[in-house]
Amino acid sequence: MLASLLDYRLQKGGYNVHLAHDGREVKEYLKRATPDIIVSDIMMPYFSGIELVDYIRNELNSKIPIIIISSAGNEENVLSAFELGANDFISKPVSPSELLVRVGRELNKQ
Amino acid sequence: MKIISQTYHSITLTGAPKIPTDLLWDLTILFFGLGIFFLFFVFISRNRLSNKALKVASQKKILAPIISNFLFYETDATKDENYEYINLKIEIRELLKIPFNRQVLTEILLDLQKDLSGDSRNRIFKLYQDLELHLDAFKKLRSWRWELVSKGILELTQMRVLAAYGFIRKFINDKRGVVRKQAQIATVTLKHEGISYFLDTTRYGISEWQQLKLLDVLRNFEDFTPPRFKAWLTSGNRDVVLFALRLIKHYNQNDANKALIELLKHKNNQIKSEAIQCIKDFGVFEALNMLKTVFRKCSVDIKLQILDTISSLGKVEDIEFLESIVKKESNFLVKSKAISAINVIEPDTYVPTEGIDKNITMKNFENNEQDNSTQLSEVMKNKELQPDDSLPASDHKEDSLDNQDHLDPEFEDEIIFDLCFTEELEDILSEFNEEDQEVNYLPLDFLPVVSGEDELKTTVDVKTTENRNTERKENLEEESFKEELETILDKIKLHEEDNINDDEEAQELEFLPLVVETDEEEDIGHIDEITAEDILSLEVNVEEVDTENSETNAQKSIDWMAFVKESEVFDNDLHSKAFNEPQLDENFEDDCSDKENANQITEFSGFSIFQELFRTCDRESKLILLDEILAVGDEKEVYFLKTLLNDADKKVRTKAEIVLKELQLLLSPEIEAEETKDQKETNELEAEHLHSASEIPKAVTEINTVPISNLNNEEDNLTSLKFCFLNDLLSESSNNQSHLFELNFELVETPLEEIENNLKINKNNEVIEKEEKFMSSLLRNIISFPEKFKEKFNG
Repeated sequence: MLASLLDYRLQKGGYNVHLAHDGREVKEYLKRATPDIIVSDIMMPYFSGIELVDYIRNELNSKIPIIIISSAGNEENVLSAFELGANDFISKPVSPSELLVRVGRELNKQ
Repeated sequence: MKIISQTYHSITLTGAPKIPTDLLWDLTILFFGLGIFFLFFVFISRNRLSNKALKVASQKKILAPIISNFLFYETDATKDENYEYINLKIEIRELLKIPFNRQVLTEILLDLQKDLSGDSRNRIFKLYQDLELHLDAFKKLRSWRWELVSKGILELTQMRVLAAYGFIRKFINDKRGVVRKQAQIATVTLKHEGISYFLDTTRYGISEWQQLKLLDVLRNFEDFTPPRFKAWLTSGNRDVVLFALRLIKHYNQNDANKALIELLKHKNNQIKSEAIQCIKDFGVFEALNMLKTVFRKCSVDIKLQILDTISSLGKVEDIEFLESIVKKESNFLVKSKAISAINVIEPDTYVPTEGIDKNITMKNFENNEQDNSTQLSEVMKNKELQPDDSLPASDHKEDSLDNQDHLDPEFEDEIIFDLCFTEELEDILSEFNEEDQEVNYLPLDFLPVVSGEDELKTTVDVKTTENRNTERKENLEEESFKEELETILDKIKLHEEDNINDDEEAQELEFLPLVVETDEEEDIGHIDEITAEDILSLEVNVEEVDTENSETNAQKSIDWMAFVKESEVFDNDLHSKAFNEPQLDENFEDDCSDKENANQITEFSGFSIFQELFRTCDRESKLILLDEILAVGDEKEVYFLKTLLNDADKKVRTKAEIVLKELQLLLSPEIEAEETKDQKETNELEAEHLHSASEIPKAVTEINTVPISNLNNEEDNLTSLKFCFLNDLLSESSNNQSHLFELNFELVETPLEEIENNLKINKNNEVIEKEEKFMSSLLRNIISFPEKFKEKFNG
């Protein structure tokens, strides 16, 4: 539900969003296309957010900005994600407006 | 036969029971049917649940965009957006007519309110009530099923339906625990006054977990003004009182002192404990008497808490009470805590008594330390006034022994070390005398614990030495050690007088750095007043220090300094100029310039540097040096060799005679002319090069442009050995002009030093060989000295 809500908010913010429901789907999508930015939850079926960061940074050797969403208190996973090369982190509960700002900032860095 | 028939009865075998096969078949059919029914039920239930989940998921997919649209709808939207929003509203109204959709929508909103924050979350709450979904929750509250009621309360609480407050608070005293607890949390969450209502009305106990959850709810409130919780300290509900005490402590409400004091008399230990904690935290001094009063009746844990509180709040008057506890209390923990409390109120009242060796009594070192320092300062003053006089060893030893009983622990180790060191030294010396009377040489290399660096520095810079000397005077430890060493050295001198008759060998003792240091410093300071004999002795000392420290980096400086002194005292103007110039450090340059201006140069016809070397070396070394004289010698060496013709040693005498003849031949005018020619060429080339190198100090250019031939020719201009080596190198360089450039730089920095080092290394090697030859037994003692010292030190 959160994904669809954020999808709607980002689309309303002017972004073209591709929504994937699990990590495997993301992996398949990345073989076909290269997005400008990835917003991913850490807890995903088949392929976690940390694995996704690792895949993008170390296997694809891509520098796509990655924003990780995780529940507050999940510090260990967040640190792991940052070590692997995640660019930013937002804790749940998420403010859609904040996400929009962070996405814009990461894209402006490129 | 009758008997047999009576004895043995015919055995009738028990037959197998008759199984009613019909019943078995019936049971089999029954269980099989039940199994199938169970499987069918599971299958049906699973399908039903999965179908429902699929339906919910699909419905969520339909409703999610609608909810998103509602959540992010802006009033300044475009017409199309407004039109879409209105259509969605109509659509959702239709959907909400179906209970399933309402249920799904409620689930969606409950999920989203967990994951969203900020304005979006508030919009969800608003949407929930706009869509009248809270009415479903209210319906649940009326259910007879506790889980539904609880669910309804949770839903209304999470969606912040304030209107539900009145409905929910009725469940605070519900007999069903889950509903009651959910209602308590909901009451406290929904309104700020909920906590007051809850504490006023609750009749049931409040579990620890529930208290924590309620406290968490209160903690997360914004703009919350907590009520004065002392109001509930009078509650009949024990848990309410306990919770109120905890809230008082959490919110630091220190207006309930009287109630807290009264609660010390409470029968419940938990309440008593919380009250004591509050008293301690808020510093309720008036509670001290009550604490003392209730102390006897309390449990051990409470007693410990009371003592802890008394230690933090108590005064000196309370020590009496605490001491009575120490005397009367049987419990070890309480007793220890009472002692600890006394020590907190009045530190060091009680000192450790268990496991203490009572035979050890403390000694007073304070007065003695002052005595020690005054004695040392007096000694220093005496030493300043009379540099050559040092305290007799025996006197000093007596002093140290006298002071031993009342020494500062910081100095104790040092004095023990000194004593052990003196004893050990005496042992070594006595052993040495017994073992080897032939060798009149004392290997005191192990003595100079005092660094040679200081010595070197003092030699290099007279001014800095004087300053450092004043600093040293302030340092008592160093002075005391110095004094101790001087005492030892006095002993050594006495020993020397007994055993050593030969003057040359006696001088070998002079290499001891401390002796050299003090004498030398003072001699340099009063150079004007020094007699010729003093100069000679000073020079020997300096040279010997050089020998000792030939391997150190500071060698360059000290050598040059020695050389400067030498040139000042014995050489002519030209000489002093030449050898003062190749400076390696700036400080040294200043010193040299000062000394050049002194013009205290004595005319001394034919002084040779070999003269010094001959004083300190053995026969073999002398023979080697004689060879060197042949290689590098000039008129000065001729004069020196003539003096050697009267040498006591026959071999030296003979060799000197031969060398003298050869040297005189070498110094004949024809050979001299050839040498002069080569050297002139070399010097010219070097002078040109040095002119081009503007960075090289002027002094360096001067040394290179000095016509060496002139030096050799002029009888008055006495060239020292070092300059002769330089001369030799220059002549070599002239043969190899391709390396002239390199040689030029070597002349500035290295050749003289190399020569000096070589000479000193040779000297050192000779000394070392001599030591190894004669002092093997002594070395063993020296090597074992640290171990012996450790043994003595450890008792």
